[in-house]
Amino acid sequence: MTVAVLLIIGVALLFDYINGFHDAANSIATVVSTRVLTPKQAVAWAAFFNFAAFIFFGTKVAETISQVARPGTFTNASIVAALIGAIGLDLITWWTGLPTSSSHALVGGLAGAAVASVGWSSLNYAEYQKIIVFIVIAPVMGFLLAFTFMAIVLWAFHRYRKVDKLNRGFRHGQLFSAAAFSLGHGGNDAQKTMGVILTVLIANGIVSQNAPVPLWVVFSAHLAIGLGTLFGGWRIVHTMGSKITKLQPVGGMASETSAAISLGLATFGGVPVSTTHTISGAIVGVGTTQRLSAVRWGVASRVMWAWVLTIPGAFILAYVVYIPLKGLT
Amino acid sequence: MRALSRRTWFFLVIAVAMLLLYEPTPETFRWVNLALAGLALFWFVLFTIEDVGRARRVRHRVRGGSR
Repeated sequence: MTVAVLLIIGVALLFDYINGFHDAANSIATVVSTRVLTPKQAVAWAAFFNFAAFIFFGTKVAETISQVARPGTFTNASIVAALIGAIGLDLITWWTGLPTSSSHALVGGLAGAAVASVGWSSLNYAEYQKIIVFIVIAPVMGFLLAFTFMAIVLWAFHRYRKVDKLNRGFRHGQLFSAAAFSLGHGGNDAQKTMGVILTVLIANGIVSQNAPVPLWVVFSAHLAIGLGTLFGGWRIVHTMGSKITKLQPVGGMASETSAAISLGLATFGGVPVSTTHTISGAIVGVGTTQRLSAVRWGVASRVMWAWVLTIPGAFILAYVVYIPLKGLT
Repeated sequence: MRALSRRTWFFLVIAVAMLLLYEPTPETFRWVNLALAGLALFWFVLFTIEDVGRARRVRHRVRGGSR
């Protein structure tokens, strides 16, 4: 393995670490705000299940990522351009406050780099079609499942008077829903990095085109996302403390369980989806059981803009970045 | 039509969107579109019944009060 390959793998793992770092809030916010776990316990809980996801899920998402372009398209230069495009867009949108998805940025970056190096014919449109359709389906699934979950709970317990006892039950349930969400997050997001590393290994002839993802790649990707969650969670504990929005345990459990089911389904189907958008859809679903005006539609419309802008934005960035890198191939 | 709340219309929009996405969705995943459209339609019908019933009750009350 050359130094260049090791460096690219390092950048891919850094992308994975950053993903865990800034998505840690999604995994621990509800368990902390409902005081089911202390912040320290919540961080450790989420990090462990993000790491342990490799036991439960296969590597279908990683294979989808490595097949977004036709065999032989990617070189070291184009993979670097794709990663710079994705990370660059993430940073720009983080600065402008647009809630974009790093997964969509990665997919857009890979497309931009592939088109810049080989042309439009290099893209595997069937894989892109699947990814683009699920940009809409995943949050909608989170929304509908969370809404249905909440409606069933409200209907089943509307005459139940022992609210404290009920809340205690849902608090315990949240331990499992938070774990399930962390598993779903680790399963889907770590595999995107595995896909990039697999692409690098294929491009350099280290593994063959149809080879399975090597075990060390699976392990290192899950380790990176687990560590990112651990350190990102610590930062959240220090900066946010108890300022996290007050949530009811039942709402937290409903949104996490629904998002976990949606992510699990997408992961088993080999579809890379945005974990942030999926949990956002589920939270909107919980809010809608009160009334539609309870939902912050300003935030929802920003998510929709993010859907529209992320892939083209990362595409353009990766395309532009590839031009000066072309000679490095 | 005015009797229906924004929430009710919202579920119809979701159901239509899922059905519109049926064709571009790869065959293996099309059942997801149908399941989600079905779930959204279920809520649309339920909320329509609730909204229409509420509107009828209000109309009845207003008519009763004006006598």
